[in-house]
Amino acid sequence: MSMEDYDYLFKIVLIGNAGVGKTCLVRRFTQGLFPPGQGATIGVDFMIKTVEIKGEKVKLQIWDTAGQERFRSITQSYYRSANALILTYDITCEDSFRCLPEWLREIEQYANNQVVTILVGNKIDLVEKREVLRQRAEDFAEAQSMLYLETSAKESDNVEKLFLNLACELIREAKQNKLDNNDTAPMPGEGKTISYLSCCSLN
Amino acid sequence: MAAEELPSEFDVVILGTGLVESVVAAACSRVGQRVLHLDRRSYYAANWASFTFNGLLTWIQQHHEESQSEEVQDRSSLLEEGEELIYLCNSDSASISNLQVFCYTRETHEEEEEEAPTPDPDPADTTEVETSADGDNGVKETSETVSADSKEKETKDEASDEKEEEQSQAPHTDGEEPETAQPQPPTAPSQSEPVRKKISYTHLVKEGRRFNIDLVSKLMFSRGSLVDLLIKSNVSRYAEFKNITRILTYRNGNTEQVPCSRADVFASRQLSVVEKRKLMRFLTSCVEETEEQQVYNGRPYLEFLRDQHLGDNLQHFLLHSIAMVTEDTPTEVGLTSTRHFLRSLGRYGNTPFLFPVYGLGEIPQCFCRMCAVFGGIYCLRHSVQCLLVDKNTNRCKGVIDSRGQRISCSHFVVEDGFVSAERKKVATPPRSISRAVLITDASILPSDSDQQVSMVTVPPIAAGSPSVTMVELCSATMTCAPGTYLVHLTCQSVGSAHEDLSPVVTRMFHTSESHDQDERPSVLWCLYFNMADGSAAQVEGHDLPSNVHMCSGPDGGLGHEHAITQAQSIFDKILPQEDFCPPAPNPEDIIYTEEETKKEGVEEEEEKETTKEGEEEEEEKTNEEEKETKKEKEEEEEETKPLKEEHKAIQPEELWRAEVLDLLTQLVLVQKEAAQHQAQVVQLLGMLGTQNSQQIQDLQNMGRHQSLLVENHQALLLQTSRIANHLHDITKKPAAASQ
Amino acid sequence: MHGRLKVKSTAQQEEQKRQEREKKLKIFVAVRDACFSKRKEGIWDDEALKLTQQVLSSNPDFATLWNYRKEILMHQETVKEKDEVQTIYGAELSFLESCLQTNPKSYGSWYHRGWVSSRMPKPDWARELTLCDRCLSLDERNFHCWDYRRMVVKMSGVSVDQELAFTDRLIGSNFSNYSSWHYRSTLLPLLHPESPEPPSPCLKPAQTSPPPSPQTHSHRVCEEQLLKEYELVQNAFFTDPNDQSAWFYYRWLLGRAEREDMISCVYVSRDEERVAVAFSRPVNAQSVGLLLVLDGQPQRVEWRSVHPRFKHSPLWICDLPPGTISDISYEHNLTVHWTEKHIHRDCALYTGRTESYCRDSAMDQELFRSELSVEKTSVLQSELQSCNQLQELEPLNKWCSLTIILLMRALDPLGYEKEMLAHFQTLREVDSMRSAYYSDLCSKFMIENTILKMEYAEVRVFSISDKNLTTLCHLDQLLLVTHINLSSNQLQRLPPQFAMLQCLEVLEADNNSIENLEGLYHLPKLEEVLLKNNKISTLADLQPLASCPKLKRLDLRGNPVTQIANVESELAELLPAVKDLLL
Repeated sequence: MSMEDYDYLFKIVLIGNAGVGKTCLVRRFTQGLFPPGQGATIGVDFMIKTVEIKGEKVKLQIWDTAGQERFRSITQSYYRSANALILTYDITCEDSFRCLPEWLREIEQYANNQVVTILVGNKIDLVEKREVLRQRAEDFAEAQSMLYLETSAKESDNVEKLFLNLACELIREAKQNKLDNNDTAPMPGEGKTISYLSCCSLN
Repeated sequence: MAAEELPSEFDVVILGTGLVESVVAAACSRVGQRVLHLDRRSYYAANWASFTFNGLLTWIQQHHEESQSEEVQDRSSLLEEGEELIYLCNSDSASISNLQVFCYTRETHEEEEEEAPTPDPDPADTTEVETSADGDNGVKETSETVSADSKEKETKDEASDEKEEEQSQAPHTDGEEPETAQPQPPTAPSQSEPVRKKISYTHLVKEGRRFNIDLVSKLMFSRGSLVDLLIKSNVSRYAEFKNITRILTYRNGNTEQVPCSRADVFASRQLSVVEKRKLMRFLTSCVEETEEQQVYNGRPYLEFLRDQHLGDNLQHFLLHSIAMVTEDTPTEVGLTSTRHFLRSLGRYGNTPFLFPVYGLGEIPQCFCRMCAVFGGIYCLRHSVQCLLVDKNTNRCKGVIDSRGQRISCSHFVVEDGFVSAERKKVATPPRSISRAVLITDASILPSDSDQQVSMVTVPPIAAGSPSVTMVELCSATMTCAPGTYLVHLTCQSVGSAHEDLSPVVTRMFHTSESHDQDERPSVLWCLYFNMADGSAAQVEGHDLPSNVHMCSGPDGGLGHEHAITQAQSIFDKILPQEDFCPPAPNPEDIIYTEEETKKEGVEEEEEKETTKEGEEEEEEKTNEEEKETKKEKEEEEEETKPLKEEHKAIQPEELWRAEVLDLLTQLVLVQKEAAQHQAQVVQLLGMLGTQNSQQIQDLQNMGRHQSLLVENHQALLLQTSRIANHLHDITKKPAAASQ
Repeated sequence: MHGRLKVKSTAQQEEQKRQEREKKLKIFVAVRDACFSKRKEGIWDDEALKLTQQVLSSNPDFATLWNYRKEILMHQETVKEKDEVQTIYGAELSFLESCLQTNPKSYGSWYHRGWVSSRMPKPDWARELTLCDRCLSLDERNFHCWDYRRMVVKMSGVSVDQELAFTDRLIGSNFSNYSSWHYRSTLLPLLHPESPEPPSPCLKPAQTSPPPSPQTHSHRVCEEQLLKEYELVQNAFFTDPNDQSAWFYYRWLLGRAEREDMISCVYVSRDEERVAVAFSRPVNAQSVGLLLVLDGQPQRVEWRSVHPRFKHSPLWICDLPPGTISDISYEHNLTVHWTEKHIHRDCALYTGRTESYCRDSAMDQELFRSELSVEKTSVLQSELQSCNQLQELEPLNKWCSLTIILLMRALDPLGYEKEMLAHFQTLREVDSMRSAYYSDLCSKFMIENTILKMEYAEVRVFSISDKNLTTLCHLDQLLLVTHINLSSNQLQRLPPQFAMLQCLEVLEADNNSIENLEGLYHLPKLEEVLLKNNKISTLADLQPLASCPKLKRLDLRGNPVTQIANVESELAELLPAVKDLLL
């Protein structure tokens, strides 16, 4: 624990069809790079970036699917302790949009009730190949009471904004929760530990 | 989500996502093996799975329906020369039998019952049995006979009737039409019990997603092999855990808390102070082996306990709840399990056990995630139809998947349910576990907190009955809806699950069958079934190629020792030189090199890059060791063959044979060096890890000592301050007087 | 396969850490200096708050900066609206939480938190209480938190009930916790005070352990609750007999209320025209308003303690003006008033008597046992039984043996003397490190017993030879003793308190290891001192004897001092009055 440590830690989980650019979004945001090819780096569980919002340091832990979405075999445990979900589709791929209800069903089944979900249409740099109209996606997001944003990982459009918006929303919720259940909230540090075992494993 | 083609080459193909398979998958993938992990089912974790309430209903339904033997497609056309096929069986319901569902939730006290279509509990018997249940169709008027009285009658005599009742019911219970899912209220019930059920079946279905109902009921010993593995491998970061908050036992018709930790003993109201002392003394003394104990080797533990003059209370606690053994267990075994219990005590809480939040089904999935993070490919709803076996070597060269694709591999790991009975070597008679799952409306032992997680030991309630282990989960474990409790009962089967467990259920819970009104919790819904005992299946001695490894399903024990040991031994057979599940790196310590991101596209380039690195460092060595490794090469050729073929796949094999061999030798060498190097690094890292943890332990010890010192100091300070106060008093008085 | 994983090597990590540390240090130093210069300039703005926050969050033990922060906040109070102040303090509290997270045992943070809480316009004590409970559940021995919590409880007026339940909880989770037990001992008297019947004259708990906290001295707990507490604490020490905290609490429970203030004895001697007054506790007579009335006339006397070393003493003496009472044919009535306490004691000196006294004996005062009601005695009896039970199971447990001794003392000090000695023997063996302590304690108990025996016999002879005494105590109780026999013990000195034996005529102390006679100081009646086979080595050691006017016989055989050259003449010079000198 030292000076550059964080005030909040959130686990953000990416989902969506294979090839819609989830990993690219993460790498663009965490490393400022647009990686070629596909698939996450082997052995990388999640990426971390600490951002500062209104003077508060927010550590974002961003989890990728580890390729399990390729054959629709994402483990339930992947969703379990997420604070936020980024549901991504590819605006140039109608198919990836049509799969969204299926993803929402998974979310409903396995994710926390309070999870913040944001719908992201990626690849707006390929706007000439657009297959999903913005309005359609917006309507869909609204119907599901999700936030909506269109991004380009390649051009870095809205990527920063996506994560910062999420962080703001999460802080807001966290503060809200703190007020709501005062008796369980105040001790600092709690709610930051992701896993009981990992924090106790050194005992 | 269009179905992509699977790659056709892997090092290890694994079928089944149970705990053992998943651990093996994670371990292999972690050390760089290319892993394909498949499961025929649409969910993870096989018989280790957890289901939402609705998911469980579907599962029950599937186990009734899944009876027609699948059309086995002939894949012999895919055979190459010198190969033969071993067909796998692709329905796993053989491991589950005697399914029976009871529902007690409606005001008018309905009762329904289902019975599994397979009265034959033999897990080895597979497809033929399944067909028997099929074909019968919806006779819906059978509920009167069901609700009557003696269960023995139901299960045997009226078996065929029940089947129909179940058939009619099962399609409804998939959660879409919960209202209609209710079977007709039976006319028979005569009990005039009060309607105290506020939670209706509809409610259960509505809240269904809040349930995570485990098929197998186990707990994690805080210092057991599973927890150690979770920590060692860093897989623990994927899950959260809760302490079992108390240990209970059922005795003389009462449920009592078993004092096992110091705090429990202190707080216990059932024990006299002398018993407290005796218990504490016994617990501290039995940690170490003494000559006195050795005298009792081979004699029953009960005898040893008796001779300690502990009294009935303590004897019961120690035998049934702490050692969790039976009356005739030999002393050394009893002591070993007592020690195991005690070792785990106090690491994370007042009991030795942990339970994963969201249920046990999370654990295999966590290992799967680890496997995937290291490149393992996952595919549910996808099976292996048959194995390709080289006739000469009797080794499995690859598999043919359910879509008819040929996938090569050097090892095949399979859940035992997929292996046909005639090839398996199983204990005779087949052993099984009796299971019951209850949803109740209150805790079995109400206390200040309604969020207790309890482990309950129920010694045999009559001679010849099994001793039952019961786990009661509260909603804080995220396994049941708020206001309900999820109770798992497990025992080694003597008869069917219903025969074994319903006596315990009717004694400890309020069911429609129990007439008296009391404060016992009411059962809202319950499920009985038998599951094949995984510890009955043996790892060795099956009629399978040597590079096919069979994993057993869940065993009846409370911990996970059996599964983890098995996983490790399978891994050791596949990769004898490799570390088992070394820690995954902390994502914050990973370097993202620039060239990696600069390189546009071509994957192979990266691969060369990495091999080159190894090459440069190990170049000198290579020459010297070349001769030696050449010998080894021939042995290894077998293993690395698929890899080579990948590189030269376009070339006609015959032409390039000689050159290929040459290249192969070099490749093998290079890779060997690289691997050795990596192994060294991994070893070093491991050592560092243990060093670190030791240091931390030392620090903690120091901390503890420090705090003790501080406490002494405080005591001293207190004394000093008292003296000071006196002094103060003394000096104050003259001042007061002088005024 | 692409993107093979690369993990930072340890050296890399170390290097990175080092660099980070360096960077941090630089920032730290820069920010700190900025804070100092701002303070110098007297700037109390938001930026200063921010800067100090930066430093303090990494080092919460920087007291100067906390003080600076206080100045800033106090300044803000003067310039901002009340609501705003509330917000500022609220932010301060959450900042402090993060500091406490870094170091939950930082004096600075806790102190500052207390300051902030007390200054806050609308403090949320419930929240503070939760914070404390959280903190204590992480470390139930964090005394900073205990301190802060006490303040919070006081400010928020938490009921004693709740607090007791709180200690129940903490003790339940881990009873090896002095803080909780102690807290309990302060709460119980408030919640279940002893029935308000006039307490029988009770005395200071001379031998049992003193209560763990000064404020509980005179507070006792009602019997019903006491029984519950006995049960609770028994559960603890049966569960773990090696845990001290429970035993200490137990001793507090068994302990007695403080002795009531009283004048326990007035003694008057015609020969010396001297009055001696004994008090129930050490006092400074010069300041408590001690008044001597002789035959209705207040006397102007000078009170002095028996030895110049004592400013406070349970015994004070004064000399009456010469001739006041010297005529043996007159009767005199004395009254000593302790005006401060409105207490007095009379004493009549009858015609023909050379001395007189009026007192409550140790027996009357039940000095050496607990002031027990009958029911309580049976309770103690059963406590003794359970301790004996425990001892059977744990024969080597020192706490148990010690407690048994104390219980026996409380029940029947003379009746259990033999058992007591046996238990002391065990204690010395199992806990040899503290054998000297046990010997002292045993000496004390033996002296108490001897005093009791003496008083039963109604004599003024105190004889305690061959009992392995290592120390002398309760000497104030021996004011009237004329003849004392301390032979064949292991005494090393006659302490200054020995001067309280104002009536002493004969001292037998052969066969000890006495090397110091400090206490033989101005003993007006002392005639005979027998010190055969001791360790008096210099003439200076004998110096105090010179102050005893009537000393006639002195036996120094077997002492090193006899080896000194011309010791005889030296002694003759030092003690000219001594006629019978044995060397």
